[in-house]
Amino acid sequence: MISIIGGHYANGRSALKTSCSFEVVRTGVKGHQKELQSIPLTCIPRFVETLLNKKELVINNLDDIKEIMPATYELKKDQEVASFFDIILNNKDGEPIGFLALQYCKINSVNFNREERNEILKLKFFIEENLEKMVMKK
Amino acid sequence: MVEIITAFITKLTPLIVSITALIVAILKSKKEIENTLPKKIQKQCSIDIEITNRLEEIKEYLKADRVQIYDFHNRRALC
Repeated sequence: MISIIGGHYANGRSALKTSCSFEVVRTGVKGHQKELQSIPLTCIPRFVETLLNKKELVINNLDDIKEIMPATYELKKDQEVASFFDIILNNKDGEPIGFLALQYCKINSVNFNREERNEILKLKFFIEENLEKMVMKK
Repeated sequence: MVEIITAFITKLTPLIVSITALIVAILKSKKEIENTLPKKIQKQCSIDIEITNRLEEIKEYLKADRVQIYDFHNRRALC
């Protein structure tokens, strides 16, 4: 899914990036979509690796990733995130195409019950399906 | 003299036909692009709005402060 053409490093290695393509915020919370464009995956390797392996990531206190994912910590801290839940998005072949991020400005906010998790999964499938439609239309 | 003119016209005709066909094809393609692009933009916008609405809903339901979608890609920039 991730195109093999496009930007490359000097040794020909593909320069994969991630960009925030959609963002909604609570009233009074600052949006950061403009700054979150074309972030090289090489800047946040541990975060990406963990997300790809575990398929989702629950962090209830941002300080928990300060040592293990320092770049991700800084990135989220700049957005005043205190706790977050990220879940991978796949294409119809099961390949990762991005991720959905739910963020909170207070710690210990990620404690979803079964119903809430179901709603997140429904949204995940909805996004995957619609992003696929966009690809097919090109 | 008549033979030369006839030969000239005979050779010129396929060229004129080809050029005319090319012009017609270019005009047709141009019209198709003009008709397709706005439609694509419209469809893209409706999908974007649908996704944004769903993000708003989940934000309210889960009382989140911010909901984002990130894409993996290999382009210089998305916007």
